[in-house]
Amino acid sequence: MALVRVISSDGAAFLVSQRLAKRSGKLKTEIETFRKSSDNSEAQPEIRIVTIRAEILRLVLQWLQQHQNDPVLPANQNEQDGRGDAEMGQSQWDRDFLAPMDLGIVMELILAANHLEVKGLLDITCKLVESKITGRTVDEIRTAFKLKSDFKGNEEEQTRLENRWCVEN
Amino acid sequence: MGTQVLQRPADTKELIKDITVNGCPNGFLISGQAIPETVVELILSKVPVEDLLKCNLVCKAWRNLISRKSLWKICFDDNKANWNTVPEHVRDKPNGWMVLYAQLRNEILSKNYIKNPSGHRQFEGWTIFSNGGDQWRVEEEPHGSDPLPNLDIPFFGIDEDKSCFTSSFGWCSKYYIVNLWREGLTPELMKLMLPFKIKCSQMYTARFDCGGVFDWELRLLDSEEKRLCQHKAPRIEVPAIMEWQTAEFAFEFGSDDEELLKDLQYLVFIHEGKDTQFWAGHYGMKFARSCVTFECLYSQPENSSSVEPPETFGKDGGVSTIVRSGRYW
Repeated sequence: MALVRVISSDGAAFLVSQRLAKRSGKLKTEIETFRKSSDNSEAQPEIRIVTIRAEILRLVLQWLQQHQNDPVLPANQNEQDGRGDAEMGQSQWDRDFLAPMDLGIVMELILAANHLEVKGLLDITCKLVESKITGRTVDEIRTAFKLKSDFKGNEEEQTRLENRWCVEN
Repeated sequence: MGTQVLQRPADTKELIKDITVNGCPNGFLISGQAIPETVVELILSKVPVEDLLKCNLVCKAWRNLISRKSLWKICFDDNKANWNTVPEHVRDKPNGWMVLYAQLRNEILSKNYIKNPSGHRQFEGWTIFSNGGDQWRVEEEPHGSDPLPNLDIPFFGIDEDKSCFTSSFGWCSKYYIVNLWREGLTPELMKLMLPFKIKCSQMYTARFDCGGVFDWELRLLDSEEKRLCQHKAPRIEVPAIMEWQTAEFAFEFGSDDEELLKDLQYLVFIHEGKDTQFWAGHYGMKFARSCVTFECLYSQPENSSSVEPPETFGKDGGVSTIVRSGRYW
């Protein structure tokens, strides 16, 4: 079985099968680039991911492992008519996987999924974050995400007014 | 004993510095993580459309994302909604996203505003103001005429679409009021959609053994139910035929009509019919698939002359009964 070494920003190396790694768009490209530039077709590729630390990389690989037999979703689904992200739903495994994570970890995971081009993981993590927006007040959202209102003067009032254009109150 | 240095509360300047770390504007820094714009967009696109307006108020960066077409494209795809229902030139307008919002939430450009178009729920939603002869009735399958043809029109469900309204030997009239605001079409949205048209259509037939006659019209009312304008279609008289036909007309609105749209809140779809033989029973005109839809236009209507000044309705029946119903219009 062809393997690849994936190294996290803090130097931890993960040895995974290339078949599994290629389910990440980014790793697939890296492996192919390595193949082209290497004379020895048997050489084991080594890929450094300088933006992802070991704890997060482990989670991504764990998720890939669990979902290794899923159909690979195209990174950009917009042109596709068929099933949307919402349709994909979450398995019980995914729910258990995400349950213990705090928002900071989820955000790191989102960034990792985005960077490594793992569409399925990006979808479920974004969906989790969405659930912290839906049904909350504006202030609660700002608090949950540590965001600050940066509206000046009457900008916020103007936005409120424009919102009323969209829907009858 | 060391001196304790109390931290001075951050003044506004420092706060601003605090929220733009490494050139990452507020809104893309969520829970301390700098999130690329495309990912924030993806997160927001998963928020149910009813909740999205609220996100507009969180911060400027989110508001900007919500006004972008790319976010709405993802929402449309996720909801399997047809992106092209809102034409490109409308999507590209400043605030064009509002039409996308209204389409996704209320299907403003892809629905029949008449909810009970053929009587499958009896007279629900309709107000009868003239019940001449042996009165209106709903026929679950048309008597004495062809069944309704199969039509490939998305507005009509198959099960809802076998029945019809049948009139009698005296004028039978009824109307259906649409509250546009409640249906998701606010004056500002209509202004954004300009130029557009309101399309009205219905199917009608007589019986194999008796002719029929009918009038129909659409009225536009303001929020106090005062008439703004109307379109009265020419009277149609048909011999004894049993084949269903479609009648339609359209109101076109251009930039000259902005003033009128400011007040427009209600549409009233009116039809009245009877037979031509004065036969007891239900030999009168049959109606089905009453339909009012909105459609964006690509260019200004040449003139808005389809919008007529108010005139009295119904030459021999409608007008007196409308007055009796105590409405302004």
